[in-house]
Amino acid sequence: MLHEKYENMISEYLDGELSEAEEKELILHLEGCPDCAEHLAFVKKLSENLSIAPEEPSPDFMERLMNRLAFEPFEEEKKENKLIKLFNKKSFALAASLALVIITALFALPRLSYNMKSAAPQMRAEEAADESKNEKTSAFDVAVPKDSPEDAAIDEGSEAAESGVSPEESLKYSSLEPSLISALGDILAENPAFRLYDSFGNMVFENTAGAELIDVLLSELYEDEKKETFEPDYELIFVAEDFELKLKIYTEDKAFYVYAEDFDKALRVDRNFSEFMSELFRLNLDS
Amino acid sequence: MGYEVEKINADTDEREFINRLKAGDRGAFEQFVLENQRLVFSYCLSRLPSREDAEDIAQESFLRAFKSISSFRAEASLRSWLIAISKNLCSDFYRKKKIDSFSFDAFMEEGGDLPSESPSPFETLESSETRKLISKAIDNLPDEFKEAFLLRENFDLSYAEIAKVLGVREGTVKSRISRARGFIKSELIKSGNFDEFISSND
Repeated sequence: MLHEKYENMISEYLDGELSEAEEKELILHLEGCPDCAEHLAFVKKLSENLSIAPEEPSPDFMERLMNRLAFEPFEEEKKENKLIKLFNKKSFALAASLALVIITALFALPRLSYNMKSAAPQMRAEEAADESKNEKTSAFDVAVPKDSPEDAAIDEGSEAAESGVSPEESLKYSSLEPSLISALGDILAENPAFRLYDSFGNMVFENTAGAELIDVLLSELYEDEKKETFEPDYELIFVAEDFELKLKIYTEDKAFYVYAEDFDKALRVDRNFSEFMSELFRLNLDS
Repeated sequence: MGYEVEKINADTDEREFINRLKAGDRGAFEQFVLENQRLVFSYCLSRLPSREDAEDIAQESFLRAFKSISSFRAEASLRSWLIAISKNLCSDFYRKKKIDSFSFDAFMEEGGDLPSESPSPFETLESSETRKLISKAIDNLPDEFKEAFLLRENFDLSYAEIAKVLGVREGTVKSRISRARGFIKSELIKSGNFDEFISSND
């Protein structure tokens, strides 16, 4: 018969977990117990059959990994070399106001996204409506007066009907979009240059027609909880001589996240980042 | 087994290495990756449906390790800590994709999505019937037994390391592994394949 105590010890023995004294005891027992000896043979054979040769990841595994990691000194050094100052001193005020608008946009996005979604029935308008009901305050109220008369002209009726929200709400949210986009558009049209860097400071994208980017970006953003604090995959940097606004981009397969530095607000875009950027690139070439 | 696992015997060496990692030493991290990438990748491959997914999650495991090395307490070995990270990421993967937890049986049936030149773990088994019985028996193990057993058999982790990965005591790991083996044996006996299995040579 198989002895329970030795059954466990056989396992441990083959796994190299027995002390010398225990090993001696086991071997002594095995000499006089064929059942336990057979169990040893079985476990040994099973292990031999189950062990898998380790698999090699692809040859560039290390390189890709290291490229995704930002080692501070290395990163700083490369950025110093690569970062091109795109604005001259005179445009500091412009850069600052651009940053202000973007930051404002980040705070306003719960509402903006609501508006975008209600305008597009396929984007699950009802769900968006539920979400935005909870959002009472926004920095955007300060930045853009919501009762601006020219905005009030936007067709409130049909949107409200589609999304199932009151005309009043629809009007309020609708009024935000054109003002913000045109504000961003104006600024970027005059100073459209920005560049996208990876976390090592290598430039991976240069934008030459900012207005379209912001247009597309805003139409696809909505708020999301803060992602984990890994190093970003990309950084979108607006540069002035005395000023820099950094947006961190974290990518996933079918979405990417945008963070403004020092702000907790996270935005999620449900698009593949590379596809999104290459689409923009085509857009820029066409324009 | 062939995992080039760092064998640091002296506590001080390991501590020094961890300190270098914590200080953001690029060289130390490269060494850490080099020594553990096969283990992590193989582990992910055993849990995930494709090589591509396994690479992604293996990369993510190292990224997360890099980001959270400051909170590593050195109560466990570095590699058991790393496997624990991979384990969580693999679970997240299935949670996100809403796919049923992996089936070892299905994994083996499909050769684990390995390219054909990679030998399947069961290639040396005598008959496909025995092979099926064993993989079925493994799949029928309760998850906690299966996990401990496979970490031991496939990835050569010590009992202490497995205990850290699974968050249980070493004694529990010991008995789970032993009972898993006993269960597989009893399944082979029940099906009448035990004698053939035990007496075959390879």
